[in-house]
Amino acid sequence: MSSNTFKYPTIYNFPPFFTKQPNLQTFQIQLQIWQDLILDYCKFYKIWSLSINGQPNTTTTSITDDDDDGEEDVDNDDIDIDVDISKNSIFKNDKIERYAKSDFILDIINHMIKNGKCEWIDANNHKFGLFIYWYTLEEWADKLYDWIDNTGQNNTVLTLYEIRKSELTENQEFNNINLNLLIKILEILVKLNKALILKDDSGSIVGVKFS
Amino acid sequence: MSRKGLASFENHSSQQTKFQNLGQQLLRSQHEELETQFQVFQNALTAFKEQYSAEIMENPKFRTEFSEICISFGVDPLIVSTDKNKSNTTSETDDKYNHLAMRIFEICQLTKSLNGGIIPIADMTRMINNEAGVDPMMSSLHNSIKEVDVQKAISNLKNIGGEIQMIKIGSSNYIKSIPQELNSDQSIILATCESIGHVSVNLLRDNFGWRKIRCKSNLEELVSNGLVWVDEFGNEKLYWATSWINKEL
Repeated sequence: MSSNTFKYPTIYNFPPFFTKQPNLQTFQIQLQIWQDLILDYCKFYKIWSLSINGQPNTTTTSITDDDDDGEEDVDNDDIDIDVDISKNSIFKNDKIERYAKSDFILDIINHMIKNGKCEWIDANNHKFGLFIYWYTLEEWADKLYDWIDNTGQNNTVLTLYEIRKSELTENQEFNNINLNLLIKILEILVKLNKALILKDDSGSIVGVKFS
Repeated sequence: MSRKGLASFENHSSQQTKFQNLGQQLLRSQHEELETQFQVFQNALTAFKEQYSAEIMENPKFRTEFSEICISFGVDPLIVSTDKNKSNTTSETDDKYNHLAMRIFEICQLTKSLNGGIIPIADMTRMINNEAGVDPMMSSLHNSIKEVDVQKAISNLKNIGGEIQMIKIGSSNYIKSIPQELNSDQSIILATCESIGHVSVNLLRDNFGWRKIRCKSNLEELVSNGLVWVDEFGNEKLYWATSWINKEL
């Protein structure tokens, strides 16, 4: 197996793993293993956001992508609101022909939300999917600010594109980060007085000044 | 903040250093204090162990709780188990088996909610060999643990936690770390699960001639003890042995 393929834990091939376990204690450990698996999986493939049916989410949310970077997001498959398990879903294992049912998937998601490991992108509209926090927002904020600090970019203005997609951040873990996730992280830094978000007349973000 | 002239900068940075030094000092003294407290507690625990060793040996509930406290504070609960008269001459081999026994105890605790407290001795041996490389206490044993070592260590463990014992299900050896005993029906079910992965009510009825209620009640008890997991996919519920969780397909 090559190292650029995610190695699932052996329990992923254990058919009952996909059934909500009736024994409460077993169910708790099952939720925990699902959570760890999803976090490891997303971290491995740098998946910032999952759709509710367990696929990497490439759509952007209700917040418009007003980045002036001319980026080419690989959107925009329509996501079914119903939990429709199709290809490439972490909740489906073709090898053993098992998939998790929607109520169980929701249990897993709620468990992760409770632990601060994911969040609805739009609490009122679950079809936008989830942000998956393999690092917490605070940890991301630290990583971003450390990079600014270590590269002496305090007091310079950066565009969101430069942070996300430019050569500057090629080797950083937040390279290619989801735009809306980045904004959430910047908002944390703003609260800590470590960053200032610069907007144009129409309210679009044009850049960030770190302090 | 008002800044006037270069001098204010110097002032600022020297203050900063002072604060940092003070902070570090505080941290250091807190750390030392905690370390002392920890040491005191460890000593108290060891003293307690010596004083009450007879009781610890006799009362299984007390013993289990005491072992858990010991482990979380890095005190070896097993020293109590070695015969007091020869405790000063504990040989290196005894040490080795005591460490091994402690790991077995810990792994049983850690995996209990996953496997219901019954684990194949082969799995246990593999897990210990896998991690021996990272545990300095065990490094000399890396990849050299055999099933017989695990068995020997478990007989040592009997001295502190009678709950941990070897059982045979079908043709394989297991380590059981729960007080409940398996009835003969349940042993048959687990042995069947072990060889083909899963059983169902119909499978039990057809192969052993049991009535439906007998199949169901035994399976339900195994589920409620966490010893089998339920697979609701096809037409019939399947019950899987937890030992298959670690199988590489």
